[in-house]
Amino acid sequence: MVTCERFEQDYEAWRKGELTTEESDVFQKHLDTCNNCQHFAESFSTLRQYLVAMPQQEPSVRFKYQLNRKINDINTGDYKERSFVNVFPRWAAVGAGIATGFTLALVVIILNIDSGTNNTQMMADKPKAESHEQFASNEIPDSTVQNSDTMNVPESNYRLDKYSQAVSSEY
Amino acid sequence: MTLEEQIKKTDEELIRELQNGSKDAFDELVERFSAPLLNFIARMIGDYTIAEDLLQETFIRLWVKKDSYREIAKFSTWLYTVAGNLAKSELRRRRFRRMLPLSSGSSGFGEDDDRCFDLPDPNSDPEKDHERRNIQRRLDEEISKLPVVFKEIIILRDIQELSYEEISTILKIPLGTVKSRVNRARGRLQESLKDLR
Ligand SMILES: [Zn+2]
Repeated sequence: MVTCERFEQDYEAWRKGELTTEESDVFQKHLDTCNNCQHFAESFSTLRQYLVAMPQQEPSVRFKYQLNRKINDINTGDYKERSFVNVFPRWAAVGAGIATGFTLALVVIILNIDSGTNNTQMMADKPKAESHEQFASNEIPDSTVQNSDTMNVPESNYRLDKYSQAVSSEY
Repeated sequence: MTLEEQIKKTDEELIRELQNGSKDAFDELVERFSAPLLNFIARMIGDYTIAEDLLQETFIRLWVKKDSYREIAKFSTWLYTVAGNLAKSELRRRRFRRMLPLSSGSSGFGEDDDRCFDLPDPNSDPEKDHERRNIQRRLDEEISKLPVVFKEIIILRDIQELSYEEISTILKIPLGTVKSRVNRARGRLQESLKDLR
C-alpha cells in the first residue's frame, strides 16, 4: 500500500522510473485516487526536494556538557531554573514592579497617617533617623554598629532573598 | 550493556529504561533527538543560540517529567510537542516584547494559481551547489516569515520528514487538517519564491 508520505518520499524515484513495475503500478493507482498527491505532484515536488535537503545544524560542543551539568544539579538539588526576567516578558516585570511600588507607597502613606498623632515622639527619635541616612550613603560609623539591628537591614535582605526564592520556585 | 545494544533500542524502550532511572538511556535519547529538535526549534524561532537554550530546557523537562510519558503516543511526538510548546512560548514572549517582526499575513495562496514550477530542479546540475545554497538560504528566510501554524507544519513535514500521523499527534489536529494545512503552507512558500526564476 502507498501512503501519501510514501508517495511524497518516493515521488522522484518513481518519476525517474527507478521503482519496480509492481511498485510503479501501486504508485499510479494511488495518484489516480488521491487528491492530496495529485496536488503535490503538480505543484510541490520540486519545492519539497529543496526542503528535504535543507542543511541541519548540530548542537554546539558545549551543549552536552552544559546539559549534563544541569542534570547533575537537578539530582543534587542545586538546579536554578531560568530567572524571572528570562521567563516573563519585560512588560510583565515592569507591570509587577509598578504594582509593587504602588502597594509600598500606599503602605507608607497609611503608616504615616497612623503615626501622624505621634509626631512628637518621632522628633525625639532623631539620632535613629540620622543613622538611616548614614546607611543610605553607605557610611557606617562606629556609633551605629550597636543599633544596626534596629535598621531592619538584615531582615529586609532576608525578605528579598525569600522573595527571589519564591519567584524561582514558582516557575 | 554495549553501545551497540543501546543504539539498536527503540525510543520507547529507552524511555522505559529512563523511567527506571537509566542515565545511559537518557544520553542515547539526547543523542538521537538533539539535532532534529535543535533545527526544528531554530527554524521556528529563527535563532540557533536561543534554540539551544530551549533544547536544553526540552531535555531537562524530559529528565524531570519522564514519568508523565505514557506509551499511548510515540515518544518522538511527545518530545516534539514539548519542544514545539517551548518554541511557541518564546515566539509569544517576543511578540509581547515587539522584538520580532512577524509575518504580514499576506494571503497570496489559495486565490492565485499556485500550480507552477518556479524552482529550478535541484538535481539538474551537480555543479550548481552555489545556486542551491542561495535557494536554501532564501527558503530559510521565507519560512521564517510564514505564520506560526504554517511554519511549524512545513518544518515538521518537509524538513524533518515526520509522517502526517505524527504531525497530527504533535499538533493535536485531525489528519485531514494536517494535509490541507501542509498544502496551504507549501503554496504560500512557493508563492513567495516566485521571483527565483
Ligand atoms: Zn496521497
